Amino acid sequence: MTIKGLIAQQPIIILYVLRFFLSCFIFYFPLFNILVTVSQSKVSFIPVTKSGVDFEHTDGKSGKRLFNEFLGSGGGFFDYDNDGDLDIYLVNGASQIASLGKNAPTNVLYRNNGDGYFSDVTELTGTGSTSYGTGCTVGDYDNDGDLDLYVANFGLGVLYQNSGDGTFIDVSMNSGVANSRWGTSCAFADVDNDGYLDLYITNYADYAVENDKKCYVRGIWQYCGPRAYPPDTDTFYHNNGDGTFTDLTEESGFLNVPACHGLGVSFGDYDNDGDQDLYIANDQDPNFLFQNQGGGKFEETALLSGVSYSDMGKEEAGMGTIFGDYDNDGFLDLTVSNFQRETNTLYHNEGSGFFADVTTLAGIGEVTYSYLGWGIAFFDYDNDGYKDIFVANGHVLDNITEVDRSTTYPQRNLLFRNLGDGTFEDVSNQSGIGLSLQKVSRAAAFGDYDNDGDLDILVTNWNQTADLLRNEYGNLNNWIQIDVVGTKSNKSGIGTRIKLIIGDSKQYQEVQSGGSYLSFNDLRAHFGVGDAKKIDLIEIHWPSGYVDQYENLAVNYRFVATENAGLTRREE
Amino acid sequence: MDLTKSNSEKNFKVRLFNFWLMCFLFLFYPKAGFSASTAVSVSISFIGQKTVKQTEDTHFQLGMYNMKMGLYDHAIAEFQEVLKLNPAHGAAHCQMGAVYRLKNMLNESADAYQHALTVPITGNSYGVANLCLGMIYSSQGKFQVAEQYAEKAVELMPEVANSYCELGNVYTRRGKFDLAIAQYQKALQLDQDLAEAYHGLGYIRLKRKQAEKALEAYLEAVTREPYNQAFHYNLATVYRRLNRMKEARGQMRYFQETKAYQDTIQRQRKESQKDPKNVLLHAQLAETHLSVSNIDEAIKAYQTAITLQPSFVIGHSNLGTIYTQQGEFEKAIDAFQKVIQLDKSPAEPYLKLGWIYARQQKYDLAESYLLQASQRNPKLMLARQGLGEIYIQQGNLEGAIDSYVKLVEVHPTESHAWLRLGVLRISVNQPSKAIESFKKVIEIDSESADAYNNLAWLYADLQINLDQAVGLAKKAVELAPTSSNFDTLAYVYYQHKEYPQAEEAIKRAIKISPDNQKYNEMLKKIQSGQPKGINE
Repeated sequence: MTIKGLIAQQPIIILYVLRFFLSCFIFYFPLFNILVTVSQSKVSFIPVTKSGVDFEHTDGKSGKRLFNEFLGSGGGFFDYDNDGDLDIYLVNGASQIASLGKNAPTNVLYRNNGDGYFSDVTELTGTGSTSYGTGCTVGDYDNDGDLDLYVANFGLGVLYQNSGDGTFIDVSMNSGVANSRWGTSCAFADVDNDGYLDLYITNYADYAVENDKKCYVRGIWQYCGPRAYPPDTDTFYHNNGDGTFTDLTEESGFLNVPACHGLGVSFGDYDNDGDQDLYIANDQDPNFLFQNQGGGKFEETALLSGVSYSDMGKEEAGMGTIFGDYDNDGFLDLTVSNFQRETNTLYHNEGSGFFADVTTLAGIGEVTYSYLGWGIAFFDYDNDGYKDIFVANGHVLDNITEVDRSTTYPQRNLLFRNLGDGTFEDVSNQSGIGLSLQKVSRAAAFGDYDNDGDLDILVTNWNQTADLLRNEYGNLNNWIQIDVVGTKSNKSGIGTRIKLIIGDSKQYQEVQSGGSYLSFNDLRAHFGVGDAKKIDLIEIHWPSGYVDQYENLAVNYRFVATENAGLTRREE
Repeated sequence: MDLTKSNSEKNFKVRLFNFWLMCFLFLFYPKAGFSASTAVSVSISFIGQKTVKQTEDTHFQLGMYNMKMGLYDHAIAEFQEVLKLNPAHGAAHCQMGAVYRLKNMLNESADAYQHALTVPITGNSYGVANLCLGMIYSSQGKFQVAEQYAEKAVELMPEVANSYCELGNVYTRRGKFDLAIAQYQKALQLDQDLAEAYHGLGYIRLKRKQAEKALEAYLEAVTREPYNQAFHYNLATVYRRLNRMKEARGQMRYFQETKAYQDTIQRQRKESQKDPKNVLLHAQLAETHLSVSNIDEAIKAYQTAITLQPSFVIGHSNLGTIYTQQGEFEKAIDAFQKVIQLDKSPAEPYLKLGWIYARQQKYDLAESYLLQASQRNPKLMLARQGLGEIYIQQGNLEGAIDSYVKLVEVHPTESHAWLRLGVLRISVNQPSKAIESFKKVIEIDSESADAYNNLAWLYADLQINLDQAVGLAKKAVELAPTSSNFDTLAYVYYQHKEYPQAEEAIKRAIKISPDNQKYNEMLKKIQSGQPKGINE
């Protein structure tokens, strides 16, 4: 891998001069100002069948409908070997009734060979945990320049420290993050802006296989719902900066709320005050919005912020969630996936600490009401400059049709195209074979694994093979990707906000390590820019407080932005 | 099972007893506007008809009765009998659909309503079936189909406000806000108290960022349905959007309280569905309703309980208490008479009847029931107290004294009774016994301002122990600086010939109650310095 400095960073003073001339130019040639357009979608997602990613999830297949089986497990895209392309990690379940020895299923790491194929490097890298896995996330917790990996389990969580030589070391015990509860989703973020990534893990329930219950609906044996077992509180680990973490769940204010069945987590600076806030999707419990009060102290504000309950005042079965600015107004909005007969929810950030539930207005409600959603994300799949929404669906009850004919166990996933006017269009039927698959999906992760300038999707499925959905023709529109490297801020640049300006159009994106459901996305910020030929200005707001600005960037390139040290184009 | 001995029932008794205590202390207050459900009494009379030939109608009626009582499986069985006899019975198909809906078996419910549409129409069976199918499909997310059924329901039942409201709800779900508004408005033309229609209007206005208009609509909804959590939630949301934070917080508190109540109700109803004949579960439900003063629902729950088990004493008793609280005395009397019919031994129903009759100024009846209560439980303080008060009302002060004497014999530390006794003894010119009574009060309750005041007044009036009287009157004023206590202090000073102090005290009384003529007259007497008895 080489970094080529074709486009050097511009000193700020020069930028101001340039901006003056640019504004004069725009004044006389206003048409050039309208660069980002909403174009008709011709994009399809194609399941990649011969990529070498042959992972098949197992829940342990106990045949006993154990309570911890139905959540499935996650995965994600990350460049563990810093070779410039995205590798894939997938988490697996395990047998809970018998020891399978060498045949035990493991988590799997696939290395991207750069030619469209992946190689299983699990053994080589030492990342093949055989625990009962759930969620995972990545971040450079030790600021050594490579991405480390955390896996949440039903059982002890595992932190894999990236050695930088293509191998990982399990440092869970020494680092103090072996969360012993039933962890689900997890995410890294530097909540106190001290330059080191902290770790938040949602925990689901106080459950042990030995105490498993049998649940029945109208005499039919089914998986138990969340309320069959008491909820558990979440876990927050503060990074001490020396390779160890301290459990500061209580000190940070995360125990000032009742225990809930936590499933989804997303960090984001929703109030634009320069620190990372936190949203938690809880299953059949009220959701939480933790506002960062500064210094890593949090206050729960969901109720008065309008993001605790449905717009009928009912708690919903929150599964996945993510912050994202879908209307490009500079405020992070929220979306949450929920159970069937609940809509997925789209919350618009009104900018005053209040979120309006715009699900119905946006056109998300009617379609999602019939599906049971899990992995969810804002992502600009057609590069038109507006973030769209994907949601992975699948029922929790394998025998649901015995009690409810109106739904099915496997379900199709959904894709909503952002029309740029606050509404979305369901384009699932027009988006290729990948969107017509009917599986029991769980997690969904997003990233440009083939480096062709559009975002692909990785979907995990319960007791089924995972799906790698390649985006075709998303790159008909132009794009730009920014890989951020912190210096004073955390090395992964998690929490960095990037503002992109083309004429009058603006886009915002924060680098996030978690979100969706049990999964993590490519940390590179991807912007679709329509038919724009250049980017007028990029502003990078680092967690440290530094702001870097770069002007006149060419489109359809990947750049590496180093905090307070310039921008370079990454050569393929 | 002997229900009368369960712990749960004891708890109900204890909680409702607090209400009775309050009634006795403050007597009763009238409350208008209550309308009890008559449906249960219809069902009760129906029980007696079980021997009637098991005709189609009888099965249907039994189905209806079982449905009302929450005996859903029995109801389904009865409707199935109807349909065996007459497969084209549209109403039976509809009611079958209703029972399945109550059991949350929506597929089966939809099947039943669909059947109703295939047989000849009876009454408004097509309209009802279409309306309910609209609701079912809507709840299953099949909004397009739901819309068709809801539109048909409006066509078939143009006089029913709920049809329009449901169609409005479906349109809202589909984002057809203008159409939805029109339906809600039509619904409100037919029924201006349809809270759900106001809520629908508020919901759309809120989505359209017309917060002030949304606020109006939600306030209307909340006023009409104060126990609906969604209404409170959205009202709070509107306040939040308007940045009226104090009101938003207040309304969120209401929302959380209402939600806790509704969650409990939902849980209890589920439990009750598993064991629908368990009257204690219905009584628990009633208790939950009572906890938020949802009186109508509490009454319904108790009525269901006593219909399922007419010998459910606590059900009748608690129902009587609620009726009393509502000022529905005749219904309360019926309920307590029923309790007595079932079990003559407890004193409580006699006591309660005694107090109701006292409230109605039917003193003979009141006396009779209170005496019976005292006979059954001689230690029942409230019965003795009630008798005493009745005798006072009737001018029978000796009788009143006798009642209070008996009361303090069994409750010697009851300071209020001693105080009442002291006053009564003054009235019948037994000053030394009165003094004893007041001293007893002070002995029991050293903070009783009334006792100090009364004793001071009595000493002064008798012109004995005047130094002591001054001290007592001062203590009374210290404990309770009321105008009457200052008046007593002035009187004591006056009798003690300490006129400046008397004048100062009466001026304090006048300051508190400037319009009291007697205080002004006293002031004149003190200022004139004529040591005459002022209580002549």
